[in-house]
Amino acid sequence: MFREIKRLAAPLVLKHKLHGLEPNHHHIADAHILQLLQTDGNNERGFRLLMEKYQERLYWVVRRLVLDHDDANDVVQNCLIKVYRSIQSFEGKSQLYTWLYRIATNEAITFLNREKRRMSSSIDDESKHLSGKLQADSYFDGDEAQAKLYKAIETLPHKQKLVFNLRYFEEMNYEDMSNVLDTSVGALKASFHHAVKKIENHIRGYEAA
Amino acid sequence: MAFPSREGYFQQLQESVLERIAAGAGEQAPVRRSIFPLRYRLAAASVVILVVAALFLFRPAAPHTDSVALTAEEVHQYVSRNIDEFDLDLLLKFAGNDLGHSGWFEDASLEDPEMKEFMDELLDDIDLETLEELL
Repeated sequence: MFREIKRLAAPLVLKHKLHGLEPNHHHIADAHILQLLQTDGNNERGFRLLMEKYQERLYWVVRRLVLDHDDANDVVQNCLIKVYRSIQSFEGKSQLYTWLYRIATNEAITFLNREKRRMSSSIDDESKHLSGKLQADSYFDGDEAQAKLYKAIETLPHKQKLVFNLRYFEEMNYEDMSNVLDTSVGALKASFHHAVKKIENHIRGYEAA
Repeated sequence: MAFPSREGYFQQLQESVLERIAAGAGEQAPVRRSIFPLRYRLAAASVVILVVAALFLFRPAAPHTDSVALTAEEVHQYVSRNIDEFDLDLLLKFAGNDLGHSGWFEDASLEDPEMKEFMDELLDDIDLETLEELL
């Protein structure tokens, strides 16, 4: 069944990777961007380079969590503004992209929690709500199999969904993920394992129905 | 991509972000916070120390003991070294199961004011009796 999940997700991963290669500023070193950001008169240029290098990756991480484009747009904008305002506090102890992912995922989880509280709903209700968003999203052009996979992912709790997405779609290694989510590698592996099992069960149930 | 973005979206995104930054230039920079602030990690670590110490102190005596016994100081050092490995599971489990708030914590963020207030109360209320319950 895990192979089945891989088969469903393969086009998404491949297209995402190809998509990710498009930006022209991926070759610019983080050190150069940080240097510009911390130099008076060059910080806007540095921030533009940072956005050009990372905005798409941050967008897709957020988009897969919140599903809706407009929601993802709001979350990513808030994330980038926080990055701009707190870049001086970046100490370089972790890689820049793990720091950015951390801010983006925190923003996305905060958004989802706020949405959930607003609806006063359970995980099941929220999952239905998000699945409804998926169906109503005119920008979703995946086939039925992909929709099935995304609906299965939507049944996961936020943290598990995040771990699954980062590992599966972003192919982030556990060490980097540990920095992003401030969680031990062991806990992340367990979380990913549980997520895969739940997705398998959901797809099996879907096919049996 | 199952979720295509709108054409020219990313160019527009940059401009929107820069406009919002320019409009709110005087706002105070938000402080990035960990999902689990140090205070709560320390509280969770304290619970773990007590659990480990209690398990150690009250374990049945082994007929032959070849290894050197751990001291409380060594236990404390171990927990300090591995503090990042401890999370709030114990504390949240206690709060969820024993106080009837299980639904609350599944995805709750400690950045939420309500959650912070509740955690503060919870930490203030923990006493030896409660810890015995946890054990």
